[in-house]
Amino acid sequence: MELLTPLALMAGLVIPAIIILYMLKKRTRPQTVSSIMLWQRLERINRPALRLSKLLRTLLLALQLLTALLLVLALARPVLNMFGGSGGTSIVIIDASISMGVKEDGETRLEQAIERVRSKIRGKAPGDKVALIAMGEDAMVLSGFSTDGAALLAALAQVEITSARANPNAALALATNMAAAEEGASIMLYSSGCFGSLARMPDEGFDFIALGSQEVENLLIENVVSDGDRLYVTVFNNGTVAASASIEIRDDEGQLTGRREVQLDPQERQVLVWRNLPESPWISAAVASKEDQLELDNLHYSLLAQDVGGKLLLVSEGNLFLERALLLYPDISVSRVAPAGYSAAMAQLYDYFVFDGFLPRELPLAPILVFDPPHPNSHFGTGAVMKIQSYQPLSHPLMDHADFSDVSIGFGKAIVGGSGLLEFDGGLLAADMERQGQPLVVFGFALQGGDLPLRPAFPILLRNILDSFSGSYQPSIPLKYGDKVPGGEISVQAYGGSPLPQGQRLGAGAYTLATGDTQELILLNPPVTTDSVATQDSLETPRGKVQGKGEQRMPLLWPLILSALLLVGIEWWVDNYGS
Amino acid sequence: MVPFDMDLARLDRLMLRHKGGLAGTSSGKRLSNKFGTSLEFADYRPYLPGDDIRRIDWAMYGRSRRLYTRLNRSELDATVNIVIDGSASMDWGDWPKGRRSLALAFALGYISIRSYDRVALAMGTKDIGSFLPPVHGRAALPRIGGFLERQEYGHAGNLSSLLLSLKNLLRPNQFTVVISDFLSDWRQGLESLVFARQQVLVFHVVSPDEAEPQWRGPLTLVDSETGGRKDVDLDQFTLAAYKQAGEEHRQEIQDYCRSRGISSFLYNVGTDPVEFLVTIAPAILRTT
Repeated sequence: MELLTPLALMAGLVIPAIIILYMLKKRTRPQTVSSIMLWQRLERINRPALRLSKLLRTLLLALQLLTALLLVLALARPVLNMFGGSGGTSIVIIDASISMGVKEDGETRLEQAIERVRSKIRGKAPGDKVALIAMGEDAMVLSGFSTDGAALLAALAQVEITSARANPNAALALATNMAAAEEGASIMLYSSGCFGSLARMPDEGFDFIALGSQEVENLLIENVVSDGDRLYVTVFNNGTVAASASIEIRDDEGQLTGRREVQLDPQERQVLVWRNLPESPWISAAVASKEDQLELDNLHYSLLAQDVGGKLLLVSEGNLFLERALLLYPDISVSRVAPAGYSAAMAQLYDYFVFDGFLPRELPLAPILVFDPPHPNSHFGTGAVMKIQSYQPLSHPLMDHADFSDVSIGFGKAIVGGSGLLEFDGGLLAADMERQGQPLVVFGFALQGGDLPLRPAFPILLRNILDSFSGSYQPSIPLKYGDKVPGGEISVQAYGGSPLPQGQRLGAGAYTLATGDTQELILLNPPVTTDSVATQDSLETPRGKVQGKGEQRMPLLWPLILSALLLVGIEWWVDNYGS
Repeated sequence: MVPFDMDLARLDRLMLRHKGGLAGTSSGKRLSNKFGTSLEFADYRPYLPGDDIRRIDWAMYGRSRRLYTRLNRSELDATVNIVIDGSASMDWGDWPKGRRSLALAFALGYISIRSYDRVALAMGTKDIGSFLPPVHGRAALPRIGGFLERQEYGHAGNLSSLLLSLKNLLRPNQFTVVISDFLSDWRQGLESLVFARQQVLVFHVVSPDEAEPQWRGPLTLVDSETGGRKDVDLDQFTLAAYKQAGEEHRQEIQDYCRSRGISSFLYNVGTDPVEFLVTIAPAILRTT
């Protein structure tokens, strides 16, 4: 059981007050009677009626105390937490994507979810088993099935927002597998539902607890890119209402070097350009707004001087269109190798990779572009090849200026997870994902399967993708937002500060990474998504819509009030007994 | 003038029923066990010289050839002593017991006067404060009314003392009517009336407020006579116990009266005195 307004228990002070009032001598008022002779006889009368009177007086006190207790409890708004599993076994999936960072009523959705799960764990029966899964772009088991409340609470405390998007299919697949080991286990998903349709659905025992509201005000720094002379700051409104804010630019010493006001409608994007940049190794851009509900994506760090060039390896049996298109970028050195000639050692030699109709056993830790991935593969979910009747492009930075209205695609396969670029009847046809901090862009069709290479959209799309790849500078040791400070010879210290202890989680900011004698500046940015962060109160599944449950707990307010009224009725009857 | 605004005509044909052996001073309407001049036949006895020859039963002489004198019963009047408790408690309540008690006394006086009885009135607290010697005849009614209208209640009372103080005024075989709320010592007083060979009628007067108090909550009860105080928390339970105590008190009086051959009646002053007397008429009154 949980109390929603525990402060109301302060009203319980009325209970000792009632007892004190009972103990106090009542203030009497004079009443003249003909004679007190008969009244004096009362003290000599020892009848059952008087004994009953004393008993009922005590009963009245008890009833009043009980009524006061029930009303105080009702004021505290108790709710009964109920885990759904038939055998008291539950798997709790908590969305850890950035949409859960939206703050509503003073706390983020993630804090609300954690609080609810925490109260459920505290209120569960001793034999109830609970497992915890954090749902980011990867699903992570925080705790296997356990009856130990303390261990579950410790595991629950580890949940943090680390991903831009949630991958519900991976989390549900993991949960379904775990549920298969425990008969009668139910799955509960605590999420704002800011993801696409589910590819699969548990057979039974699945509840979606929707968190948050459908109206959100949020501006985010989508990207900060410098070409040496100018700084391009992309601001996006992924909320549901028009929003305005100040965009502030600061140098490495925290000095304010620029400020602009922006006002954006929902789904509107604006690129702000600054010239005369300060002498600083890096720069930060921040959204300054009191109304902004998602703080996490308000800050973005960027190096001012970037080497946009690099080496790209195309792994393909031969794709003339793709090779020619890649050669359009003089700063990028393109090499090609057949899939049979690709080896894991090549992963260390190139900055970017393009896989065409092929995926290696282990993906390199670098930005990757994939066309026509094999189905199935061990890296991400795909569907079987199917004929594409129609498709539609989605709003995404990689799709900027790419006109797909005259592009035909004959066959393709669904891509599971990530942020969609193209969508068709079977799901996403193309998606932008993140894997270990590296971008991974996947197209579920072969270039030869349509006329995309012949259309203007193709070089523009490729340019957008390679621009995003070159902007994603990564240090020699990949670290990303939310990672823990590694140990060993590697030390991490805040920029201009002292070394951080091993195991500390890294937030957004500038850090100095020291490995042996070499030092390297790294910038960690929070996960960002341009997807809407408004709560979806229902999920699209292959079996239809699953409506979210706002509360999966039984409020006890009305039962308590009705019980109190019943007690008042009994008290009234007792008080009037014998009249 | 008829005081107390009552429909006394309903009492015209009623008179107090005596249990025999009344002592009268004048001829009245009550038949006694003595031989007298009433029309009520009593017995025959052989003629003796000197008997009124108008009383010889000639029909009997015709049958038996002996002279017999016919004897008739004597008709006497009775003396009705009405004693009213004048203590302060009698004047308490939304329906003052005192006023209705005086009206009841007047109604009883009216019945007695109409029955050719003599009526004496006495009122006091611990002894006789006011006394109206026996009066009779219709002309006495205004005197009775005037006497009652002048009476006032007050002070602490003691019914036993009051009744004991009547000792020198009472003659055997008279009616004595006691009107009181019996909220003081009473047993010895009634005992003295029985000892004085009175035919006693007791009217125990209660007011509706006494029978069913309407107040509730914590109270300090103040005695209207003595000023004594008692704290009570008057709820339904206490009220029930009070009513039980009142009922026991009334039962105690009735039991005593029954054991002494005294007729006792509970008079709730919420009832009109005439209506009350008509209601109890079969028990103590008879139709003339």
